[in-house]
Amino acid sequence: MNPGSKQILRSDGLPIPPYLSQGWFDTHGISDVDLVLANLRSESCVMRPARLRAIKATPLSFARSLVKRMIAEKWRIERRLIDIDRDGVGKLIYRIFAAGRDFTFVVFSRRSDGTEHPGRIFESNFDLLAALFEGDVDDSRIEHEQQQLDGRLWQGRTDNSCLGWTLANRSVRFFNHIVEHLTQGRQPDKEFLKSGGGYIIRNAGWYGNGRFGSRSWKALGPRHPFSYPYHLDIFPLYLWRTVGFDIVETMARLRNPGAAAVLSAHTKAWMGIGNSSGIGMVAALVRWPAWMSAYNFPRELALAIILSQRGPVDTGAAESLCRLLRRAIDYYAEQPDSLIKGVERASVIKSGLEQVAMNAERMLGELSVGRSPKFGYWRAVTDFADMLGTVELSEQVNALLIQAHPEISDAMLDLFQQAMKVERTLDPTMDVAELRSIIARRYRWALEIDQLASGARKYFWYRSEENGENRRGERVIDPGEERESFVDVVGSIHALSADLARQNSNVAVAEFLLRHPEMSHAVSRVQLAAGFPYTEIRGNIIDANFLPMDGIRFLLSTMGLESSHPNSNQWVRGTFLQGAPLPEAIKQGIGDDWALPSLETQHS
Amino acid sequence: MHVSYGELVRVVPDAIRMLGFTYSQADDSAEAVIWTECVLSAGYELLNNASVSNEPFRKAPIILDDDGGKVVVSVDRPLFAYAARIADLAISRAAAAGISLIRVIGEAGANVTPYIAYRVSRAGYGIAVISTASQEYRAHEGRTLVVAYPGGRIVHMARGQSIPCDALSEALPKSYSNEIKRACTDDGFAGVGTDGEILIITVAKQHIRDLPIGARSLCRLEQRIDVVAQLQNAVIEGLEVPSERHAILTGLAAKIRVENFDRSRTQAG
Repeated sequence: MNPGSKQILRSDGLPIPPYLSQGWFDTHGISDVDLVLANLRSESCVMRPARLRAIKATPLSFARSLVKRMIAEKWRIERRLIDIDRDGVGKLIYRIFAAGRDFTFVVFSRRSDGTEHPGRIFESNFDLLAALFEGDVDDSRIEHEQQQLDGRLWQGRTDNSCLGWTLANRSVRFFNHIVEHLTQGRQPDKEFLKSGGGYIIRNAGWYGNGRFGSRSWKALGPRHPFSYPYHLDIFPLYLWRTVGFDIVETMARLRNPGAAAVLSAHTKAWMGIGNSSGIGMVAALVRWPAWMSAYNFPRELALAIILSQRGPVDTGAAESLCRLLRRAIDYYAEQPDSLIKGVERASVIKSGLEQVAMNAERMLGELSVGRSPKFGYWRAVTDFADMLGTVELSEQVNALLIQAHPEISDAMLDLFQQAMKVERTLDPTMDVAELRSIIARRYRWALEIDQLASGARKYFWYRSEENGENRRGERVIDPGEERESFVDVVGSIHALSADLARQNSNVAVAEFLLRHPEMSHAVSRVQLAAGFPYTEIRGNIIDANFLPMDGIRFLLSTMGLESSHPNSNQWVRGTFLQGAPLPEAIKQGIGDDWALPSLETQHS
Repeated sequence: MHVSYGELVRVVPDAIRMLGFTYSQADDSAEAVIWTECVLSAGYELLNNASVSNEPFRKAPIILDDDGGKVVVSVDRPLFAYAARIADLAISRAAAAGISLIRVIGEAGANVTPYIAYRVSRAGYGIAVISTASQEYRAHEGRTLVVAYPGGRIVHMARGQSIPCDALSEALPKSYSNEIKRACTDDGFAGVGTDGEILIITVAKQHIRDLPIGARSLCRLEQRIDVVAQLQNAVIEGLEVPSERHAILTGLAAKIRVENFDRSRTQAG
């Protein structure tokens, strides 16, 4: 089998992407390629919404790979100015030095009205606004940016020196609690902190990549510190976390000079940055099937490589897995249970992890006396987890398995960059017969969905006049259906299939599309799916029973969200960068093993 | 005003949808519009020339005549919305026959022909596009010749003049004599005889040396556009555009947003 060929299919029709070559396997010392490919999980397993919902952050997630890079390159984040009053109102300036370039982060901290702002895009009342510039900026530029960003929110303009704007809000309950305790010279109450999401500041969005005139991400060269996909989007989250610490500590000091406390390093490291996301994330997942494939394939390949390992078990990795399982148990012990139907309770996952850990430790002990599971140690661990019957547990164990093999996850980062470069294309020379054949092979799941069934076409996605916020309306009730955003993959495949059925087999795609230009997206998706795996969510997005949180949680985990707590089935809150090393550690190049922290327990 | 490339990528498809095109067509033609703005500073103009339609679907192009190598396509305005589809038809026909000739009638929209040439050349084909604007746009666009070699890097362009008919006659197979006649105007240069017509000659790589898109013809072309450099510059530096033009674009795009109603805010989460 030659995995470099676009035409390679597994027996179940799973294609191997063309960027994965035999040379890649050779470079990474993987000899049993057939076994690895056979161990890739099927799309009917991975791409089901209920499975996607359960997938957890791994070292491949963008937040993790960003912090890894920051540590490796010893980025320096230095506060140049903090000019705020006792209420936290004022300005902060940070300078960032990364891989030979420098950046400036300017924060405008507004007076809080003491209420929780959800951070919805239609709002204008945000507690914190900031701009990230490449290079240094002078006072006049800062003043100009303040006028545009703070003074003309949603209407202002910036320019090419600005990488983007970002907004955030205080998590008022926890923000005030921490300020009050520090002012009194005390640390915040741990039980109280654990009852929330583990953050002071909640992200309300990053507006870069051309928005408001900011620089396009594509303009950054390959050696730029933010050239890796989504690192520029995630970095402001890290900065907000730092800003939050600086503001609460400074407010406490101004309120009680000489006696105020600073947050302990352990509490700081435990805290992350809050995030809320709605249904727009599902539209984004559907819009870019090549990226959907990129989000999934490297993770699945990493898992397949690990599960294909034969011969003596790497006991170092096995010990690492056992250590990570114990850490995850402590982490889930501090997570609140979700009350949303379909989300597994943290306490159930914790209980499962305990059983998996005990089993993994027992097998590790047996390895030391020369006994090893018949189908391999790693397979025995995942089979045991699967047997316990909770999907989230299985996916958490899979994520830890990848984390226990840093050499494999590192190898995936390069592959991931290649995967993200795949663009929408269209082969006009393909004939209708081949297109039909691909649909039959790759989209049978979609054709099997009955579009006439009750509720099958209940919803449509749209953007609201309120700053374009993504929303979901009901076709029979709400206005705006004629302007719906594209999420109806199933409907488009049905329509394409019906149109193709009326064509002669030898007609070229170009000619078909000349007559049916409205089908070009569907054709492009189908052609992509011929060569790339994991491109589509295997569900009917517009069905009454589709849960948007499934897609939201998946994309957030891909971004690096460690814990997510759906507020409803279409709105997900969670925390990024919990446990991430502080700037002092990053500039020393230490602290890479940080995920899944515990407030009560300090893990080595 | 300063506009970012990423901003255009985000806004233009919405604007095109609000001109009455489908989601698929909007993405296809957004590439043509953005390319034309980045390379020729004429993308906004393409949109401004297109009228707003309340019809959910525009008419698809119609193939009026087809003998395999030669195709006549009638296109409803505006042409930019079908540029990708016509370019792909040219590619597919040239892939099958080595050379293809497509005559597009309807609205010439010469400003989008460089994009057609680029798209075809990016796919590995040589292409010559000869167009004469319709009477409506004659003063502005006139007669245009665009030539591109395989690779999608350089587009050669001339306006108001064209290659000598002799060059076409010498280079094209005899079976194309009627088309050559049609493409040649009284002054002995190749344009397209009829207003609002485009002639697209697409050639597979192996046949290029025999055809008119050779150096002899190109030496008369007045403009050599380094597409890669122009696109790269637009991506890196952004674009400077009149603010009133950008306001029209964003105003059009904003129409895709649905008015607020009672339940609306609860439908985000």
